[in-house]
Amino acid sequence: MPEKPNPSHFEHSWATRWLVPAVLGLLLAALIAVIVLSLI
Amino acid sequence: MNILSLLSTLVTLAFAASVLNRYRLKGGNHLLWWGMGLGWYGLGTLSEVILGAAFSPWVLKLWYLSGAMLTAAWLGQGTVFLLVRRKGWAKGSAWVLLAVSALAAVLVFSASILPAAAHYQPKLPVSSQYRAMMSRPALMIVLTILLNIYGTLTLVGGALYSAYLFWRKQVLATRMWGNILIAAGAMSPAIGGSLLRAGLGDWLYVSEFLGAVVMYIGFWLAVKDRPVKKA
Repeated sequence: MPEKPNPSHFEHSWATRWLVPAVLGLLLAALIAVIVLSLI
Repeated sequence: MNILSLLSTLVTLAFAASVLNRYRLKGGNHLLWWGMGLGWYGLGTLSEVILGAAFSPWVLKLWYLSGAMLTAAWLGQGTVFLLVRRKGWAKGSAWVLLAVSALAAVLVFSASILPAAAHYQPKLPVSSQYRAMMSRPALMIVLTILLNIYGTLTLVGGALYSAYLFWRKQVLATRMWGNILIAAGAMSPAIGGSLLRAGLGDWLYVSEFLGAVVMYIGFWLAVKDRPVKKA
């Protein structure tokens, strides 16, 4: 019997494959910068 | 009147009402703490509106306590309740936060108002004037830093972690984007706070408004596919 497809699954588009990790990385860098700046 | 702070107050209070209404229907400590955190956010921006009309030492202290000390930490505590699997840890940290918040309130409301407050200018942002008007003992400054680090790490870090998990598993795209917006919105006043410490107090109001709007859109996206089932 074929597996039931997961309705919440999505296929990567250009935006989700490349843009999301880039944005997450930028936000993580900003988070680290804000924390470090608050300590100095 | 400070229009940006007024708009921030309206957006934040609508956001808080939406989150607390969801808590009323669905329960969940994370929603309760987010709602209360947004309440502090709104009290902070409302204080800016009042201080834009006239000076009041109590409102200045309320502004500092809510905006500078409690908002980020209480919002972050909501994320701790959502993501930390060991509920004992979440509850324990919430009790610690409540105790630290009570200490913060005592410190802020017992701080003395300095003579420079007589020269307060309502047309200038309070964020660029408060240092000269209110004494801040070392413990108050340390608590402000610690509360903001705790809140920013948990709120922004938690939203980034959730977004990463959805991205890696390729599920729930709208919740992934919602979490990215929540992280970006929460970073906005955090960056505004960093600029404030660097002497650029004028940017705080803009960062608060952007933060409230972007987080609200993010929250809406994160929950829109999960309607609350009415009993």
